[in-house]
Amino acid sequence: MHKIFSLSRKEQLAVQFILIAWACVVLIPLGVAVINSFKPNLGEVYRAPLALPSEWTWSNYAEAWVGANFGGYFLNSAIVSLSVVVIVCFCASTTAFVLVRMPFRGSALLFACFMIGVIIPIRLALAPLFTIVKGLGLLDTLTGLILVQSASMMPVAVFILTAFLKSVPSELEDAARMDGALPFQIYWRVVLPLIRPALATVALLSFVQAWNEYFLPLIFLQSSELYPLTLGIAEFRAQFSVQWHLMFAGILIMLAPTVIAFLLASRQFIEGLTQGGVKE
Amino acid sequence: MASITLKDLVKTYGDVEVLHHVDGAIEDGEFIVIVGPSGCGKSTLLRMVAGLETVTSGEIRIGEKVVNQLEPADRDIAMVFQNYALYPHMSVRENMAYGLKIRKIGKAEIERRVQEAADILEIGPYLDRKPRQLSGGQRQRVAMGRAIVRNPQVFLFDEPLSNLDAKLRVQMRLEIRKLQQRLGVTSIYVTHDQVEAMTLGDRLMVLNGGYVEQFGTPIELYDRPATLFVAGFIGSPSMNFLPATAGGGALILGNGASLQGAGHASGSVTLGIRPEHLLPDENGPIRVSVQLFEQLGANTLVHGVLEGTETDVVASLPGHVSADPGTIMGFTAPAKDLHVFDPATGRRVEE
Repeated sequence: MHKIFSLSRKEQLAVQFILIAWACVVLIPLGVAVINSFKPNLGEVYRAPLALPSEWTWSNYAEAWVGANFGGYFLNSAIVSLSVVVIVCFCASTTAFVLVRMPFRGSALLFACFMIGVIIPIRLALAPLFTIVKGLGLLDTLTGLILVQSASMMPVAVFILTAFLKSVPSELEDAARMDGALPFQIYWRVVLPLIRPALATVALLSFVQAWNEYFLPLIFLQSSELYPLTLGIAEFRAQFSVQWHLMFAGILIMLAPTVIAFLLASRQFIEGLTQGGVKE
Repeated sequence: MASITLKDLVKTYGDVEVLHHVDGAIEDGEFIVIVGPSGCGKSTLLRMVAGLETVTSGEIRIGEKVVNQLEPADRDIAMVFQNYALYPHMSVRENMAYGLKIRKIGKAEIERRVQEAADILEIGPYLDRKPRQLSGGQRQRVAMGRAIVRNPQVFLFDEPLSNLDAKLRVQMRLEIRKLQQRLGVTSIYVTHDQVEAMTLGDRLMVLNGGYVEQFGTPIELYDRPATLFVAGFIGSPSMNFLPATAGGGALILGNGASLQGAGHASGSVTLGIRPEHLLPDENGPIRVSVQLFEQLGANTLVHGVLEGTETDVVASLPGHVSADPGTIMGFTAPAKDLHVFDPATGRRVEE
């Protein structure tokens, strides 16, 4: 492989030291959490937090899942996050398609509004947002939460997808028009497959964002049976403040889907999908 | 099959007019090549016929029908794009069948037409491959196959060969011509390559800066170019242009040499002579101070300047020729091969 910079041996050592140190900073707490989540009782966590468990057991996971209702929280988080992903991917890609390929009077202004949305955090608009959600009768429902979280992801998603779509040659869409495809067919059969790498980015971002969101569920949900994992963990900590072995198991349950999402999406980034359709 | 009529076509983008009152009548089954340098409006004109660009004013008719307002799909045309524009996520078969599927044509009929087109283009073995698994030439064939299966009244080609290497381009050029003759479909082909234009077209439309310079058969354009632009654009190497003064049927070159064949021209003119029409003649009136030779094998290009002036002259001589730089070579040119232009308007002065 061609190297742009070549480092001297000393420099290499320094760079590697920094990278390894940073990896440790990230991985050690995670490793501690994993080790302790398999310990059979709390005593071992306190006695030797960095030691391996005397016997490996899954019981903490089972107890967190069932006893502390992590199963229910998990389901709520999954419903919210997956719905947000579907809504954001569909709405942002159709919006980007229209903004880039069918500009109309005022489309630049519309795009500017989305860009303002990138800059201004949704929390600043919380009071009017709360009034709207309340007016719609969606307070304390997953539907309300899903809509608010989707809206909060739209600006970034539209930004990513418009930027990507602009770089895709429009000949393919011309060809589809010649073939007699209607705008929605062009979007569905031609544009959507072409922007898949960018769509994967958007899906990943909105999934992780929705999954880890604490603030919006806190504002818009009241009933604890609707709580997602973020609120669930806070609830759990309030109730079982000293049960660290259970706590670690709960945290790892919460962490798993985001890790899996990253692994799934990273394959999409690598896949060069547009290759071969048009000559670059 | 259908004729195409372009009437007073104008295209503007904002305040900029890019096509100026283009007229042209294309007959049923004709192969028309629109040729011109980059940015002359040739692709825009083609896209207007295709329906991918709106018409600012004027009229496009396919057959008897005015198609200005029709969607591309309703014009009964098929187009081959410069970068092929194959759907990357569909197989070759699906690429070719997509347009038919949208038109709700029966499965058996689609399969028959795809197979037929694949046979014509010899892409049968690749039907289940994705475009990225094909070479440039194969992709080009698939793009043509997608046009053929539609069985359209008109084919449009937008520089379809410009992404292929030189050898393949010559081969595909012949195949396109054969295919068009076999199917007899009216075709419009856009290119910036004058050799491609000369070899493919029944007639050529030369565009420059949004104006039609000349519309005629390749031989007409070669033998009687209507403007300085066409004269310089058609033919390779391009025509020599020598400033001259005409009067009494004779032409006086910048260095005082005199040639017969000015026709009715008078005053200051531009004399055009093709390199291949300069015949070596020791006593010829056109005396060239040689600077270098380009050996092409079958012929030799002699580069030099008209003796006593700064005017570049190129002559194309058969076989191998060489001489020392600085040598003076004499040339003559038959009166029928002299082209006289008015330097002010750039138009040909009629004999």
